[in-house]
Amino acid sequence: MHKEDSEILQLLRNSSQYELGFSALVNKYKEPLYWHIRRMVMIHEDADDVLQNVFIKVYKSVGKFREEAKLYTWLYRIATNESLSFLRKRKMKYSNVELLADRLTVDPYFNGDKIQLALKEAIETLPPKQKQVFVLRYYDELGYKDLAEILESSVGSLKASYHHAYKKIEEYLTNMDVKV
Amino acid sequence: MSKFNKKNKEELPKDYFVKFGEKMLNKTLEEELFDTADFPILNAVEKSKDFTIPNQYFENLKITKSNSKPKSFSLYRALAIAASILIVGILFTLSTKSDTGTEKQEIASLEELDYYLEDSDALELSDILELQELYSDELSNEFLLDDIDNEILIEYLLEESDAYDLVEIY
Repeated sequence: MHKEDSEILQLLRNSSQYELGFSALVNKYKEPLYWHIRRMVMIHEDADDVLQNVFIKVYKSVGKFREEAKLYTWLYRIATNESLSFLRKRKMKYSNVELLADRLTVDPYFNGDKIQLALKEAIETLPPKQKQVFVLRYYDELGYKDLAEILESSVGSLKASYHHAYKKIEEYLTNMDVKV
Repeated sequence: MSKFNKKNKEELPKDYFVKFGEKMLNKTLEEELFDTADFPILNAVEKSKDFTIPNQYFENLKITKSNSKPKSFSLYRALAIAASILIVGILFTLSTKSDTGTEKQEIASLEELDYYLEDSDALELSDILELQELYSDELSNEFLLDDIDNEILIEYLLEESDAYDLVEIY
């Protein structure tokens, strides 16, 4: 049973219980954050590295967290930014979609079929903003209100980005002659 | 009729209309700009079961927090930062000064060049081309060299320049 966010924050504010609070936070959010990061970076080892970085960042800065935002939206924001920063660096090494597809096909932790592989490729072609909106909405099924808080953007612009992403992915899959 | 209305009002849940407004707002907020049914391929893709993780990954997940303790502000740290800023500032000022010197030198030499160019009475390329067009016939080699004796030509060249290899010309 996970602790409530308010309980976790209370522990984190008390220096003698900081470690306890941090451990409760990791236990509660490691899975949802991991899956969010994994959808963004695709490869398990990469997701593991990014998740470590996210929690280290959280560990260092949770004291500065203001309760104007929800704890989980703040955590998702850090995870999204870390994933994007990782992707920027990776783009310098692997500049195209085919290379990512090659990595995924030999990845022991990818069980997807042809259509799912094509979907991953299609997501990889999206510009950063559309990619993060698509992953958060399509996979994590977050509401636009939370998305607006995480990505610090307006609901209208997020809806438009999601629509564009959806259209581009459908087009990509159609061009790839994907049969369902 | 009035009796019917009264009865219905009593049967409404508490704050029904307030909550209805909120519900409608949230519904509009979460509604997509498009109909997902228009995207048959994407709708047919199964979302889950594509990514897997190593056994017991979450159970064994350890966050390595070495050297990652929350930073505390110390006087020593503040002094170190101030000293670094000062050094960078001094270096920047010095480099800017030396850069300006070089620039001045460059500008001076460019000015000199401009002066020489303006002072020169050499013909412009356009003028040369114009003249060449006007006197193209007269400037032909035939016209220039027809009536000149070889001996005179050699004499002329000896007087004017010592760079020519006379043997070769001859």
